[in-house]
Formats: sequence, structure tokens, C-alpha cells
Amino acid sequence: MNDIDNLLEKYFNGVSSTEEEKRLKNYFEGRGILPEHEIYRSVFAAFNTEKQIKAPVMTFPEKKTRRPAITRRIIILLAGSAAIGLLAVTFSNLQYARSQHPEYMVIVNGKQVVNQHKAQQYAEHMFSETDKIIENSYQLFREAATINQDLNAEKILKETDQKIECIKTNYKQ
Amino acid sequence: MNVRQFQYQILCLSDKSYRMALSILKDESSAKDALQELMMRLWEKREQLDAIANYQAFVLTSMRNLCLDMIRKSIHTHEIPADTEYNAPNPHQQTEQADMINHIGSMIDTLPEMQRTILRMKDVEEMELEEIAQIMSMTENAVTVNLSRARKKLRDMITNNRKKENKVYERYR
Repeated sequence: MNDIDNLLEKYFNGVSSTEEEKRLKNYFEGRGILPEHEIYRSVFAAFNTEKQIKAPVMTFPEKKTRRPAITRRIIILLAGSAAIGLLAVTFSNLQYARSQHPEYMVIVNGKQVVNQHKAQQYAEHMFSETDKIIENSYQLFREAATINQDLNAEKILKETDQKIECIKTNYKQ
Repeated sequence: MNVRQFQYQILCLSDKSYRMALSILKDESSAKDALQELMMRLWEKREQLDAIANYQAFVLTSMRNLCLDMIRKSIHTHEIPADTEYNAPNPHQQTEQADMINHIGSMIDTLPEMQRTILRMKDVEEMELEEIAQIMSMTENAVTVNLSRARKKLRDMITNNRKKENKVYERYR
């Protein structure tokens, strides 16, 4: 049993392996324990006994699902009613705003026009009026261009030169 | 983390956590309170537990910290000094305590908190040195040193107890 003595020595020095400690435990759990080792049997038996200790059953507090108190329920009811009232007021305001501001609306000379057809007619009329104004504005430029073309000094001088040359030729003959 | 995950990954560690609390606090009632407190805290923070890699190390570390905090806060609870000697019960006390296994538990309880926690994690919970080091926030070497000291002290207490018993028996023979 020198082997067990060696194992015990290693065990008490804290250098025994897990396997060696298992061998020691098996030895001390068995019946063939030598008298000189008997003193240590209670050590391993004590470890084994301690390992049997079980934890008490845990009790976790259950989630409280109690009904709300009367005052709490009244507050919830009032808050709910207030929320519904607020929603109703908001919705009616939205409807009013929508009636005041239809989807199609143009402002003509500071007046709201909601009839799309009439607004288009008005716009076409105004565009034609604008065309006329532009046309009349360009008329002056056109007349000026014609006058400029008619009063072309270079052309007149050339024609005058030609006429003088013609008179000179006739005079020589 | 949902209820099922909490049950399988956290609540299943209740026994180990409770035994650790019992080892540190040395009082069943306080250990139960500690377990209840820890599990409640973890349950409340279960949404954040998904990020944890090693649940056992995390839960046991939390339990140890909680127990140490309870000891610090408690006026009545006090840690037994490290140099306290184990006084062997007289034969009358021995018959009252029933057997040696209970004595071993009492002997372990006289060890300093760190040593008895490491001893119980290694010999009762059969945890690896690496994990113990992680829980205790120390190196594996430091764990080995503390484990060796704890086991040797336990061996000395058992040996001295045996010697005293023999003396008493010889006196009454």
C-alpha cells in the first residue's frame, strides 16, 4: 500500500491529479482500508456527505396580476374619455380645415377660385392677352427695322454714285 | 435569457451555490438567505446573462462575493481567525455529535475562508484548479498553495484529535 501513501502525500501537498484523487476516494469508500489509513476515511466520507447537501427549494415572487383599484380604474376611465374627446375635436377640426381649403384652389387677383375649368379658361384668356401685348410691343421694333432697312445710307450712296456715273457717261458722249 | 434557460443554466447550480454559502457563512439560515438573494438578483438581470461564457464560475463567484459582503455587513457574524485551533470535543461531546464525519465538517469550518472554500470546491464539488482560480480571482499556483495548506491543516487537526482521543481513552482505561 505504498502507492496509497504516495497518493496521500501528493494529495496533502495539493499536487495530486484528478485521476489520483478519484483513486483515493475509491480506496476510502471500499472495505480493504489498512489500519494506518483508517484515520483519513472520515475525511473522504465527510466530503461525500457534504456533497449530498441540497439547496432549499427556491421561491420566486409571482407577478402581481391584481385588479386595479377603484380610484385607479376611475383615472383610467377619465383618461380614456379625455383621449377620445381629444381625438374627436382634432378630427372635426381637420374636416373643417379641409372644407375651407379644398384640394383644388387658385387665387386670382386675391380671390379664391375652386372651379378648375373656370380657372383654366381664365388662364388661357390671360395668356392670349399676354401674347397680344408682346405682339404689339414687337411691332414697334419691326417698323424701326423696316425704316432702318429703307434708309440704308450705303445703298443710297451706291445708287447715287451709279446715277452720277451714268450722267457723266452721257455727258461725255 | 428566458425562463427555461435560467432554469437549466442558473438554477441547476443552486446546490453548489448553497453549499458554498453554507461553507462561508456557516449558518443554514444565512446560507438560504444568500441563495435566495443571489437567485433573485440573477433573475432580475437575466436579460444580461446571455453574454456570460462560464455560468458556474460566474454564479459561484457571485455567491462568494455576496457571502463575504454579508459577513462584512453583519455585526453579529464574525470570521473565525485563521490561527484558531480546533478544540477536540470530549467523549461526551463526541457521543452527542454522533460521528467523526461531523467533526471533519467542523474542522474544515475553522480554516480561513479562502482555504476552506478552495478545499470544498476541489474535494466536495470536484472542480478543476483552473475554474477555482477563476472563481477566486487568483492564479492556479496560488490555489494549489492554499489547497495544500488547507489539507495539511486538516490532516494535523485529525492527527491531533486522534492523539487526544487516545490520551482520554488511556486515562479512563
